Amino acid sequence: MVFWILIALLAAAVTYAVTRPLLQPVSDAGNASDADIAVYKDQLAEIDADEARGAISKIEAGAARTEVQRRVLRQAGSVRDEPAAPVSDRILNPLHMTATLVLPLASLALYMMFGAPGLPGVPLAERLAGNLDATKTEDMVAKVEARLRQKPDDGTGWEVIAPVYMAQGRYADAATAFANALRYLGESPRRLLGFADARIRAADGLVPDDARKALRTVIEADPKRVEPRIWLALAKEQDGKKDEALADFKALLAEAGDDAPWRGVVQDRIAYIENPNAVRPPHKGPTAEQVAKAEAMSPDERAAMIDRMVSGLADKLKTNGRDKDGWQRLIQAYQMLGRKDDAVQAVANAKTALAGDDVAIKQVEDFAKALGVGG
Amino acid sequence: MIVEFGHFALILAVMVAAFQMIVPFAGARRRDVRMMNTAEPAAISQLILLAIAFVALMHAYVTSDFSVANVAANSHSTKPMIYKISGVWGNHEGSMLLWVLILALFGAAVALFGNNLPPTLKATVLAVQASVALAFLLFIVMTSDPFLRLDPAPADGRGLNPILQDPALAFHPPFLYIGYVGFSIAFSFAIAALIEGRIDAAWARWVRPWTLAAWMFLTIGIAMGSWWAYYELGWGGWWFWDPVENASFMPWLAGTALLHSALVMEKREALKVWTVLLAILTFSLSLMGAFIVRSGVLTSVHSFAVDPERGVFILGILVLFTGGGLALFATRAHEMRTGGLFQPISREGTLVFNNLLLVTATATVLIGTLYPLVLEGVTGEKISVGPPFFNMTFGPLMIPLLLALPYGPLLAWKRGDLVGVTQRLVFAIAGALLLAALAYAAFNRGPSLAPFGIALGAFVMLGAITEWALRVKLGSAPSDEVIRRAKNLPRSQYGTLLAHFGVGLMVIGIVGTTAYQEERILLMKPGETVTVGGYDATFKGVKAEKGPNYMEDIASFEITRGGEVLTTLLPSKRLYDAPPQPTTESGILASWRGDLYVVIGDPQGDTTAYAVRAYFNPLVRFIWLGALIMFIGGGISLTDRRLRVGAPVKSRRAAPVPAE
Repeated sequence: MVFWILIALLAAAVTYAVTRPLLQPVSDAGNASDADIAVYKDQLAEIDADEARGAISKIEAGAARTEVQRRVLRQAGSVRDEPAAPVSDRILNPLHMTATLVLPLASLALYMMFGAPGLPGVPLAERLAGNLDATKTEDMVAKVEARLRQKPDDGTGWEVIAPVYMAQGRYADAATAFANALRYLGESPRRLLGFADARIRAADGLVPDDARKALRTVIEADPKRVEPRIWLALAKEQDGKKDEALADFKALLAEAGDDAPWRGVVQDRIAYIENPNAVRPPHKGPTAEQVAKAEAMSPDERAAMIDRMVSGLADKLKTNGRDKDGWQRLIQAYQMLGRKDDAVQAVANAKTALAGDDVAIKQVEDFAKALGVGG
Repeated sequence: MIVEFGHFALILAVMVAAFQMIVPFAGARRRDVRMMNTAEPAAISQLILLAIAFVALMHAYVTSDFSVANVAANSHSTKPMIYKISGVWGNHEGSMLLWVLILALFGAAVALFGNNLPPTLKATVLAVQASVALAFLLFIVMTSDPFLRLDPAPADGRGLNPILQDPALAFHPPFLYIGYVGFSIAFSFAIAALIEGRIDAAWARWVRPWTLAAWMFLTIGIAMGSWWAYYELGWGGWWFWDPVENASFMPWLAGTALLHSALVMEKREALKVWTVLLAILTFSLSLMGAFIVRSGVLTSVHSFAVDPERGVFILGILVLFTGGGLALFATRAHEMRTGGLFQPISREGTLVFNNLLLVTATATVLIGTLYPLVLEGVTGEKISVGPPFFNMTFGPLMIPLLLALPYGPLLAWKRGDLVGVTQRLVFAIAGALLLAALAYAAFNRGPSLAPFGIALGAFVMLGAITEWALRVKLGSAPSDEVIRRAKNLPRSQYGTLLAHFGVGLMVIGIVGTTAYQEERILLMKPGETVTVGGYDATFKGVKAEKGPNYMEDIASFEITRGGEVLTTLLPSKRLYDAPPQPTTESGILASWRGDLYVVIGDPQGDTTAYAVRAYFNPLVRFIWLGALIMFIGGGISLTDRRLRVGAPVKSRRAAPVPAE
């Protein structure tokens, strides 16, 4: 309401100021030759002043004076001001009325076309103070980011935001966040693995040197961890050391129980290394081709494809629920698609499926909280 | 709410501009005082409304309100405050808003200070000014609205192009715009004179100072842009004949011509029709500059708005005002009375010579800038017209201009004495030749024409000093009279002297750095030393640092000269966070002799060796110092509000010839 009063006041004030002269009685306009003569008079005065100061000599002043006087005469001889033809009040009054109406109303109409009345401003400071939708992931991220800018050595902050970045697909930011968490909170397998994962995803699946280092550190502490071994084997494969990679994958397969969720991945790799032409390269998540295809699709087709992928994941988790990362991907997918209830349901399902593994449940809960699920 | 209030103010300004275009114009044709009187409050209202809009947008930037699409697209919460402010005009929409704000500022100035103008002229000028404003306001509202909103607001903005995050670049657009838009006043006066069919005595009194103000700001704006390119782009050069540079340089050249012809017109009532034409051309070139930069027809670092719809709109504005102005000129110019008579050898004569050369130079730059475009449009063939073209064409045109420059102020109005003036310039000529010989001996290398170029610059500078000495009768009058004369010398003359002196200084800088630059490009490992320009630069290594919104690799070079440690230069490469984009920061050791300029490149193979470029740019500071002195000279002249009357000398010889 205040807004409408303010713009009404602005429009009224401007309209009044602009149209007022139309109604004001005036005396004579003065005319152009008067203005010219005034300029010439000023010029003559200026020549006198210059001469008095010695800026020009007496002879020069005389010559200049003669010239200006000649201009005055020429001007006087050629007066051809057309007589004024003032517009009568009969025309001016309607003109005034029209302008008074058109200026504010046309402005208002144009504004309604282009403007967004009622949409409040959202300055960052206000948003961070929490006056806005605190459940929105982006707002929360902004809040944590603002705190981290103030206190960049807050390791817990980095630790909280890192998986959110991962969920948002901001892998480079996630890697930085994990690295900072490592620096301020010390090494832990989870942080190291998170860092490695972020780096690998940021590098489009290539395993960079710093990621390898982190993975090796994890293995040193716990040689039984499978994930880092898979990545390192993949790194060898990427380096062209196919035989070593094959040996590592086979060793992993030998250790794998029948229900190991990663069994399929390792089998695929082995098959691929042994016969690169027969099988398509398996890939975690959508392949570059799939993504490219998605980009070429219409929005509807794309939504359908995403739905297919999400329901595929959901089905997989129904049969094998002990896959914490899978649950997290599913929760994140629901949340991003705006299927908030499904996301809440997925968290509950995950807790049931992961029953017994308190660490994993806690992680899923934290993850869901970071995404703003159920808030 | 502030944002929406600004948006409404912008739209109201559109309507006010339409009103200001129609009512006072009709009033001036009917000589109806009441209708003409509406021009004044309309012009002032426009300024207030656009100032509200601009402040609202700036508020959105300063508070990082990402619900404004323009802020979200061009700002970022981590950006330092000064770049949040400069971000307002560091993008297409905001810069157009600044453009119309400055347009309104000039319009309001005419309304407020134009009391001594004939009423019909004033009303017509303001109506023409409003038509320009209306065209650009419609352009903004229809294609480039800075107040469009986003709901929901994104978490953070996409950031300002890091290459624009630099003080010199951040603040050069306002100066350039004051320059470009300032010429709109000359344009409006020219169109009004053509419509009225007469040029009033007050006309030149008005046009000259406004042109001078616009010219000053364009000068300093171009100089800032060039300075920025010098230290930020890391190419060691200061002018690249880039189309966008040319876009600002063409109005400058035409504006310089206009400035001088308006002077003749004010003092002598000569060159009237020519001045009107130049005023139209100068503003048309400004509009073309806007078209080139905004439409993205040319690819360069400046084209941040590549959008065909906008390009076509601006092209329409350009065609309307240039074509309309020239058509009006063609039909009405012959009705204007030609003024004062003068001989070829006279101050008017040298100013005509100046105008001819400057306009030819403008045409040269125009051809070099547009020819590749036209060729590509017609045949599809892509060519690039580089510095060699401009050096071969533009350079030679400047030689006679600079040779004639010291003569101009010393020749008398109406009829002058060439031999007499040459005699008076003998010290300047001798001094220039001496300096050329010294330059040749000192450098003993480089192009053989370079000492001649140095002599040319020195001639212009010494010519300015000579003029001052003659005017105050230095050496020929007792010292108290010299002091009295120096005090009484009008400020406008000091302005001219300084501006011409600045030109000479700039020429020396340009010739010195172009002809005698030393360049070393090499791979360096820590501990190695490169010698350039008499300096020894020892590479100490590279370390990584974190800035407020970027990461950087800072190299350190210890600079010694004759074994004495002078300083440490820290050229760096930055990678900005948002958007992630690399920039180079050069390390520069400035001195009067010239600049040592070091840029660090990428590490090579094993990580201890880096690509390094080191330059010695002799006298390069003189270029910008010259521009600064020209700016100051213009300012001093501008403070001199007295009338300009040119005192002719009495005829002793043949009859004068008509001027036009």
